[in-house]
Amino acid sequence: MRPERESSVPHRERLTAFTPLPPERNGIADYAAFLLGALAEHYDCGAACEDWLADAPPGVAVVDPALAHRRAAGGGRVLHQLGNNPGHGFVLRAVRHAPGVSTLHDPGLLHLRQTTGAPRGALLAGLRDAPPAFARYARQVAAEDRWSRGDHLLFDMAGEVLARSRAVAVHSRFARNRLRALHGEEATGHVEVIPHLLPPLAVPSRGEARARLGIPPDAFLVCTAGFATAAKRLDWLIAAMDLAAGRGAAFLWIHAGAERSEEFPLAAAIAERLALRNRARITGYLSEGALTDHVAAADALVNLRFPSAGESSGSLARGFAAGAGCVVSDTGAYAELPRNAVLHVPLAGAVPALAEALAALAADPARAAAIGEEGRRFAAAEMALPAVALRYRALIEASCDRPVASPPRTGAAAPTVAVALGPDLTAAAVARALRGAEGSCRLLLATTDLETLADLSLERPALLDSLLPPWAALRAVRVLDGPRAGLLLDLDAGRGS
Amino acid sequence: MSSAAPLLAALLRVALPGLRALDLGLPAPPALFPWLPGTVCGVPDAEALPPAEAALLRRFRHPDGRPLIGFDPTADAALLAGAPATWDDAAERLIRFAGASPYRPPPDALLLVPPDAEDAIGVPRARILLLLGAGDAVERHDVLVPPPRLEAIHAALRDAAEALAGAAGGRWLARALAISAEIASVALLPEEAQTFRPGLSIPATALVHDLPTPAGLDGLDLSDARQVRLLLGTSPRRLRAFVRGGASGVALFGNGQRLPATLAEHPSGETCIEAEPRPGASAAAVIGLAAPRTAARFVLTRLELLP
Repeated sequence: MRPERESSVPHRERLTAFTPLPPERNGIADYAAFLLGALAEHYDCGAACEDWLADAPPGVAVVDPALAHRRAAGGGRVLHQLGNNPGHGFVLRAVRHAPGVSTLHDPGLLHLRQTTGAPRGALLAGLRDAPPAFARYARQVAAEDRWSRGDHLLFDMAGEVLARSRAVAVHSRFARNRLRALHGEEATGHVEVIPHLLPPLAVPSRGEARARLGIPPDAFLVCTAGFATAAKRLDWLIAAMDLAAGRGAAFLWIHAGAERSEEFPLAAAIAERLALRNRARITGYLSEGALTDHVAAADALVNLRFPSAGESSGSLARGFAAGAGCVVSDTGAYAELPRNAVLHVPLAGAVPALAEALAALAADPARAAAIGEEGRRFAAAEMALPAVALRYRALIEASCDRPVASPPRTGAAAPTVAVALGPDLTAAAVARALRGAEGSCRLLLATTDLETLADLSLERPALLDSLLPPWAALRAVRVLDGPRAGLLLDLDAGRGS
Repeated sequence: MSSAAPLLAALLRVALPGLRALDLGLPAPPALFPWLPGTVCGVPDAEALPPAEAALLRRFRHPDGRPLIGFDPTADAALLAGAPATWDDAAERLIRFAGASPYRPPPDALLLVPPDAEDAIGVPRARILLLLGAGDAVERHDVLVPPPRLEAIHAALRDAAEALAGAAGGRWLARALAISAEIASVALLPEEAQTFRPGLSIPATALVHDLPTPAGLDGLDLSDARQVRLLLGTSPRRLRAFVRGGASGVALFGNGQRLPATLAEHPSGETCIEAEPRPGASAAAVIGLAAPRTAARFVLTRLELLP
């Protein structure tokens, strides 16, 4: 009888997911734990995590990422969960070694690259994805090697992940369109939108949560959650609450998360507002259960973003799960949420609009509850975990044989790209011609003869400076005569590392 | 792992006192490492490895701090050229290749190669066929030696085989044959289906690991790193790690996956963590040790491989 029993068990493919996991204080770690728990229904799942003692869901083994390639060998499926912070450095390295489906939770990866020791050449190579309109600025960044916060929106550094992934999942059309605008249709044809998941939380009732937290049942509670980063615009929220309080609105505010004072001095900013001193508090980092309690206790969950690069929010998904009335910025991925499922706050005039909205909700908590109920309904229909896991499975299976770009050659002869050099040749045309180049390469700026080359060099001073993209470092120049006349440039086009 | 690896190592150790070995069998399980103490190991061609396997092996350091052979051409050059200091002035040097030799080995070094592997690079060498039994299987390894030394080395291997036949437990057959001026053989075969599988204790100071600092006299300090990978090469049936200090929550990993393990206090005052690694794959075994962030200071003092 034993063979019969064995044959009745369906064969399950092996899936190795490179991802952080709890207890790492990282929203993507929580997301991955939920997702892998659901994917374990479909696959023999392993989670390659830098913390070998991380908390994986039942049925999912934690694997040392340095050895996970052995597990993934021989046709095993691979999934990468990538966010834009240093906790994902090992995931980015795995993308290079073990191609699979990559989830870009944040389509910009500049911060990850900068904080995980990417060499200067690799960062400059990432500038190749800058749209032509930013080429001059990108050249300046490269020349001065000085990066600003705004650069995180302009230069996403996602080209390597797009090229080396069998498929890419993002959580919004905004994120997909942003990648498409920066990298083109061809490089992003394998990008698919899979909605953020609704965490399968055991959410307590509002009354139960408030009783545990000591929050009066009749108070109107506003909650914000997660790390208090600058992009969450808590400065706008503070100004709006100050304004609303001045107009007589009654509310409490809890920031259910840790302050990140180097980005935004939250406690100090609250202390400056007299009207908020006795209404607001910051909890510090919370355990999973305590965070759920705070979100469940809230009438309104405020989740602003500006600027937005298309990132997704685990806190918002919690808000949906808890049925809190969610208030979001009308931008990025949030703008795609149904108008009845959240309350959108415009970017222009955000502070007075938010003050008005909070005052109105505080005066009529039933309205916040109604928005929360619509949000919960929307999330149950679009973000349910089993459905999200099925979307992942479909993407993983559909893409498992799709070829990916090879890593840069080492030791091979440098390829030569030829472009006709004339008065109309633009930097954008040269950048296009070099787009596929990595590492050492050669560019021939071809002319009909040497006289023409001499004329052009006189007509266009600083010819090479104006033509070469910022990420291509010039190593040597040779003047060629004969049938292939022109300038032969030895370049280093950078490489991902 | 070759199941005759412990027998091969024991035979070479008895026959060739002062032997120092370089095992270039990685990324497959080595044959001499870790059974022959002091063996240096490496890969014949790091460029040919899959990138992830190269990245894994590049992490490891020998007890003296040098990387595995094949990953630092500058440091490797002197060793591969046979510079005596890099071999600790060993009386005898042996290099094992898992295939054809990619290097020109030092002319006086002994080579250990698969059956009939060509010795195309370097000086001509005579060949001693070693036939070693493990259970029902017989493994063959060829020792290539400078022709003038064939007779002496053959005799030393024969004597060692006879000594081991008496000491290995069970009934063993030891035979040696001089086939020609360039070929000889030594056989050490069980008369029943037993396998020579002794235990092996490896002190922390002899471990090949991926921490930045070497082990001290009291062991390998894991207090800061919390996680360490140890290149073991072979997957033993049972493995024991001995830890001094806060061992609560310490876990053992085999080839990247957590192993069910038991913790027990040892009479030495150390904590003994014992596990049964899964049978080895086609790649060299790597053992991991991890402790929770809350664990107190602790050091790994030794590993024991049990039959």
